[in-house]
Amino acid sequence: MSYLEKEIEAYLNGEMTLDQRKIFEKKVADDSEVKKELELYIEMNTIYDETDWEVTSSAIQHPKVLQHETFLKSDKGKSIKKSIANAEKVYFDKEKSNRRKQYFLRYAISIAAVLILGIYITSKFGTTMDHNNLYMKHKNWEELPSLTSRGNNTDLTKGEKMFKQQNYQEAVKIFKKHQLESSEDINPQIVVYVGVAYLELEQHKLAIESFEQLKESNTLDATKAYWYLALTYLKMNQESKAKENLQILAGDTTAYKHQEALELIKALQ
Amino acid sequence: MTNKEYDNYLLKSLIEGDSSGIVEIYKRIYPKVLRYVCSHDGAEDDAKDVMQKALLLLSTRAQQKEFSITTSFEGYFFTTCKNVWRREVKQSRTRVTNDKVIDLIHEEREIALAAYEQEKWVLFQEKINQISENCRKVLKLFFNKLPYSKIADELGYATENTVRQRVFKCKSKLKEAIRSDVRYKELKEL
Repeated sequence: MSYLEKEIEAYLNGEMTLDQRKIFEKKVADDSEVKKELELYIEMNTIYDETDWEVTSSAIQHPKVLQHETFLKSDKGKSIKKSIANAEKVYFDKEKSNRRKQYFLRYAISIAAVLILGIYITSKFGTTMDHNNLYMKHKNWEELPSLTSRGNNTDLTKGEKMFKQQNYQEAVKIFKKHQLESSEDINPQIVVYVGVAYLELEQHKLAIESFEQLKESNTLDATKAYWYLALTYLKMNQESKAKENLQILAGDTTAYKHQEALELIKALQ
Repeated sequence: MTNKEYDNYLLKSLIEGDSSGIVEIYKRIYPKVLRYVCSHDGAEDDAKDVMQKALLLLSTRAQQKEFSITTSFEGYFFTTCKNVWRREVKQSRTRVTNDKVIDLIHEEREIALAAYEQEKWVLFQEKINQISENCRKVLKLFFNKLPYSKIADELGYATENTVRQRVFKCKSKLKEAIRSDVRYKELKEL
């Protein structure tokens, strides 16, 4: 470590007094070797600082700079500059068109997606609508045999009344109570009422249970269950299951709602 | 094409001014430059400007017979772009702080100066990579303005004073390495 190095360090770190600085600066001015040494230290401080850059406008006359400048002003230099500008244009035009292409592609995909979704929804919605329409068309609770005619049982009359007033909740409650208290094995007509009430209450599972109960019952009305089950599945938008039940009715000319079942099958196709 | 062949193709395109090769350079490196400039206080237009200047600058430098790239073209060119941007930032800062109007130098001279500075920068990087690893570590932290106490913590030195002495010694070694290189003399002579 030379004394000069220590001096330079002290000078650059601002560790000199004003007088010391003046003396050192004079030394730099008088001795070109000292000057070079100081310059190199300053260069290192700037060049190795990653956030800084050494701008050397003082080097305008340096042969290397002149050489570079001459080249840049030459025909070759100018043609290279043109090529770069040209390449830039090509690159950005291409990128722009790519972006446009991508944009269009994305746009097209969106449209396609919307269309597909739309078709899906309308078809899905459409069939739902169709099924619902068919259900509405074919459900006809008015034709359910009146329970009153079967006697003067006030409970059943009351239940039927509730049913007709579309108070299905209350109707179910009354019919269930009656069934529990009744000594009869199964009253198929009450079972139908209960099932339909559940159907109207959107309690499809319970509705199916009731109609299955009817189907399993050893009564004349048992086959009517297929019709009600068909309607239930139709309402539930389960076309194939609805059809299954309808086929049974359609295959037997004497079956309950045979004609209607045929019509409904046709409508479903 | 191997990587090396591809790199040579890109450099040759730049030396000869072959637009299609330069487009390839744009494709490979411009997105990185854009990202770099935008994350260092620049905008898209700055990135485009940096890219153009760096291409012209590197082409100018590469016209010299002794010019060669030992690393990948991509890395080398990206570093050039970073340096061009640092130069721009430094200049705009100087322009802002100086009240007096600085004469705008014409573009050729600007690029010529930047190319000269770049050459000096490359030489200095080469030299710092030639000294011992320990010195390099100490000096890189020191030149990036890390306080002595922090350098001591980072590199496990007992005291700040030890770091001070270490920095002093390493700087002296590095300075010698630079000064004794012919290229430095060439760059300094007027």
